[in-house]
Amino acid sequence: MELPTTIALSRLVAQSRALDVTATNLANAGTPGFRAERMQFSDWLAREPAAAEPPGGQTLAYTQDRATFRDWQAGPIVHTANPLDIAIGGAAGWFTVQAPQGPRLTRAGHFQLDAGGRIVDEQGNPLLDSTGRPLQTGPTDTRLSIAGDGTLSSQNGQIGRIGIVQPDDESKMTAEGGRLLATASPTQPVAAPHLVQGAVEDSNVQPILELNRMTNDLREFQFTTQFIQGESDRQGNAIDKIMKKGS
Amino acid sequence: MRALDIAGTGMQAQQTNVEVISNNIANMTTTGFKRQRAAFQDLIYQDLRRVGSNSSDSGSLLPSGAQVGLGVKTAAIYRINEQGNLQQTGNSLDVAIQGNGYFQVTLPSGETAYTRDGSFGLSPEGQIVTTNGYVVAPGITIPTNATGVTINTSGQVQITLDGQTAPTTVGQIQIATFPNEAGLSAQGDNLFLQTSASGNPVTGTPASPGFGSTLQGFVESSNVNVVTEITDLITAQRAYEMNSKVITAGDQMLSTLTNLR
Repeated sequence: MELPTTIALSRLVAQSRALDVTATNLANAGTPGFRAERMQFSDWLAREPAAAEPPGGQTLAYTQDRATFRDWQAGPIVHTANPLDIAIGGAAGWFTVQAPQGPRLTRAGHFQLDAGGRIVDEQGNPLLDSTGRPLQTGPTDTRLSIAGDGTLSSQNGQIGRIGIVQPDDESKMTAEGGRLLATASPTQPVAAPHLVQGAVEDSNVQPILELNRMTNDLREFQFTTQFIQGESDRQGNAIDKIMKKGS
Repeated sequence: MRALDIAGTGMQAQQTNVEVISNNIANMTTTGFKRQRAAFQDLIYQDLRRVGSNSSDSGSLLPSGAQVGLGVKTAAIYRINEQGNLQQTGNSLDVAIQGNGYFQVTLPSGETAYTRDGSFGLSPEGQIVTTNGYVVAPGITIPTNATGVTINTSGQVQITLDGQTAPTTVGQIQIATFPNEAGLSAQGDNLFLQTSASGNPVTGTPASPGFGSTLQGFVESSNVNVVTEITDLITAQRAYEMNSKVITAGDQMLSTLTNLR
């Protein structure tokens, strides 16, 4: 097996996945609370320096798409005037909803009421209060207002306080789709959250960056294929010359 | 090459977005119309490397994984229930609600529908009805010999009879509010029906606490803001184009590959 080609191939595979990440970001440029993802590459040594190198040889490093990480910047806050649209000001803090698979975090603050008067997201997962219980409104509560610190009240008085939490390590969060993220690290309540009623946080995807990245992904890919082409031509030439010499 | 499919979902979502925007623009002069917005959510993710999995036998963990999302889908198309502008018409049976609340309309099936469209008229029997002829609850009849109709801010309908000076009250319009107006289901003809998401209606007299007041001689125009719609349309169109560029990029990658020998 010829090594230069396989090393370039590792780049091609990684680069095509990087385009998948960019495509997801652009597709979700209008998804509330979405966080843009980036691909991180790292070198992956095929021959460790300590191991015996071939005489005059070099250490070989393949590339690997080692991880994706998220851009944790807050997205722009869009005014909607819906009483159950809630945006979290600042980059820190997450809503907790009780999904069937367990508590999940989200920044998409588009909620509504279900048949039982609970505040739920679009999949019907109830929004949890600061004690981890679903927020329950009464049948006569019509004017819901949410204070900046998350206190939910109606004309009949206070209902509860929306729980806003922050995981110890955001990088351990995994997206599950449906705007929900699971977290492996413990979460802490945010003492003084800043909530805005009647607004939703938009996606933090910046299309200009993504388009640049996409062009870059494409050109790097084409550059690598050119390298493979060149390498193939070089080998072809070498074989031709050797054959000529032999004849 | 997942990028092709991912960008495809993005194009579909933006197409829905344009459809919603075009419906808003088409209804920009519909009385009592509330504009809508499409809300999107991310599709499931594929884990290339799962975060927190062991990276060695000694138990070291990956601090972050590699996740590739698979696109976007439309989660909901929801209504924005901001108050529309009030337009003066001078018609004595045009009523607008200033603030919270919906007029209750009895459908021919007996069901109650809700509307913000207060351009009412009279039925052959003298009842106050909507433009479709449905009776406005609680069913108020204006006698044929009435010379003038007055509807005050608390929904009381008063008439002056021929030859009398003091007005007579013939009924009071009741309005309904909902815990979650966005959960009402639109039926067309400016009518909405209650759903489990909207919660149960709370009826009351206009201008009482928690309810809007009624204004005679006005109708509520739609709350569509043309400037916002056009800018949203531009954004949606550009987002559509950007997703198509991703498809082009993916296609170019594939074509570079097929040109390799």
